[in-house]
Amino acid sequence: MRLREFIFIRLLMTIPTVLLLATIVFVVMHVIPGDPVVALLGSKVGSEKQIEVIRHELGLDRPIYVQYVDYVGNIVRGNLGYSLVRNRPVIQEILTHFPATLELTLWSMLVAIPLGIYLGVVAAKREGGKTDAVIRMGSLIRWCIPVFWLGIMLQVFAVMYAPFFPLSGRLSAQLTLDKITGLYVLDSILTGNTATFADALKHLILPVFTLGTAMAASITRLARANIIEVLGEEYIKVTRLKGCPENIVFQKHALPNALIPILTYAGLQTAMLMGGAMLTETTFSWPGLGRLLLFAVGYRDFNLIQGCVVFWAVIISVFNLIVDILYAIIDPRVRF
Amino acid sequence: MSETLKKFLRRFAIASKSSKLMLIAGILLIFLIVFLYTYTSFFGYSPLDTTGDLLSPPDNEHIMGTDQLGRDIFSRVCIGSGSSLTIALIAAAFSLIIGSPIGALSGYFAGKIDRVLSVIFDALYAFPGIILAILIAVMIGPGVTTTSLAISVEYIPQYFRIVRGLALSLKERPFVEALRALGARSRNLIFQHILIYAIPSILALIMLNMGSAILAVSGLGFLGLGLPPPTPEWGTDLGRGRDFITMGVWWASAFPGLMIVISVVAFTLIGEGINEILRTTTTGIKV
Repeated sequence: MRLREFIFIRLLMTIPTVLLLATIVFVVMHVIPGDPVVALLGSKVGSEKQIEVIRHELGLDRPIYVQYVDYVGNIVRGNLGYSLVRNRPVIQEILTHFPATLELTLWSMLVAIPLGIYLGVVAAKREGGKTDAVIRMGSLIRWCIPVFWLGIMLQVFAVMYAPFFPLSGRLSAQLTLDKITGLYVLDSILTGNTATFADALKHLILPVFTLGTAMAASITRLARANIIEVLGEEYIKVTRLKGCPENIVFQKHALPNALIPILTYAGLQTAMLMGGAMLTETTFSWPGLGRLLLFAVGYRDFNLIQGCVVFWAVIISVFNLIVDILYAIIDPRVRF
Repeated sequence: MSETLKKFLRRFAIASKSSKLMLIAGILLIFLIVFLYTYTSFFGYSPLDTTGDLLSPPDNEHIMGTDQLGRDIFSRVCIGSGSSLTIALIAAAFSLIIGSPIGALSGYFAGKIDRVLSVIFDALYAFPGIILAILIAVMIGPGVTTTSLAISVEYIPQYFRIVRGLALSLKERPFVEALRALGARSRNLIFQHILIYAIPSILALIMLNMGSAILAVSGLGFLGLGLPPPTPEWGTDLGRGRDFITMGVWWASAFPGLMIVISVVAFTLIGEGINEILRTTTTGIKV
């Protein structure tokens, strides 16, 4: 009963967060100079009158507060509007692009979380030693490498030495796939399509390596620091003094406590990536939300931009909620 | 001020070898970048001059090869540090100037204002910075000032948090109470005594932020939203060079990226080094 109340209150609290983010986007789009109609017309320079007509049709000639109230009202009703450039409802555009982003995110985190925690554990166990130094430097340097550069270097390597790896996209052009979930690997398993399955996996390797190691680097750093901190706590000393074997001290007493903040971090990062990893998606021409947003920004498609950001805000809030609930279940100290 | 510096140097003397090494290595790398910049601007090729050799591979004359317009990549890469570092510095300075005084005031006076400000900055913290940077870059158009301001928004909450936390704990300390009893004004207390204490941690944060700002700038450049051409900028050059990788041209994108990595590593090492040293107490024990 109490957990249910907690979830309900947290759900209510996501509403102001989403509204605040939506408002920031609205303000940025309307305060900053740059006429959307002129941008929309692009090279087809219309006459003053044409511009006026389009402005009126789009409702851009109304007072700004009317536009704002209208905009918020639409979001509350779940109506993200219509994309003028794509000529489709925004929500459809988002749902078409979301599976690609979801697939990239899931695989990357599947690589990053175990790898990051493993390296963090190894480094923390040998704190101050050579292995620790190597892992620390390695993760620091990996953190400093931009994903797009690593991606391009991998592509160069593939071009010159390993033509096995496709450079971009999700699937080779000659292959077909019945889409069920939109996650290509899953879909090819469900339909028993082995050729497509192998091809989809092949397309995933380079982007997942690029994004996964980036995430793993920060998880490693966090895991190492947390484990070292927990190992220095009094209760660990007490456990050791009462004669508990070292590996049990570590696995049963230290590790679970050290992993709690990592769970939070990994959850938030997953949410961030689900809004679209713009740089990785651009590098590998991955047709996800990040590229959709960049496209929308390039064409100043207001509705599409706002839709992408609101969608993102909702995902971030939902993930925050899930992490909080998990937290409450894992950590008995947390009171609702 | 000198008190803070002395304390830091005392900590530095007894800090662990690795943290000293990190700090020193980072500073040396910055020197290297500055040296390359000055050397190239006096003795190297001009980063804007085109030669007849388009996309020629690295050789003795052009040690990093030439780009698609026949410009010397080495000098573009060395001069390119100018714009990236300037933008990073402005971004860090701007977020510092906005974030830390508000943080100090919020932590010092606590109460309702503090709660409202904390909620606002938390929301800003959750906002994906790159989206804002992209929106601003597209709407206003790219430039050194706009790009750095756009990037800085992401860092303001970090200064707010760190200074607020310090102010919250410092205001209970006896020396602050003593000063207050002596009739010191709140304004003087905050700006002359509390903010001074935050300087080392702020310095570490500035360095870490400059590292990530360089990543952000080059990311925008890579997306084609960076400084307008022909200004040499790592991300933009890298993005252009990418069009030729299927022809086996690796140098046009490899070297600008390498410089990004070197400079980000440099600032991160300094930032982490300072943080490590701050964790060492004057008795040599890490806290």
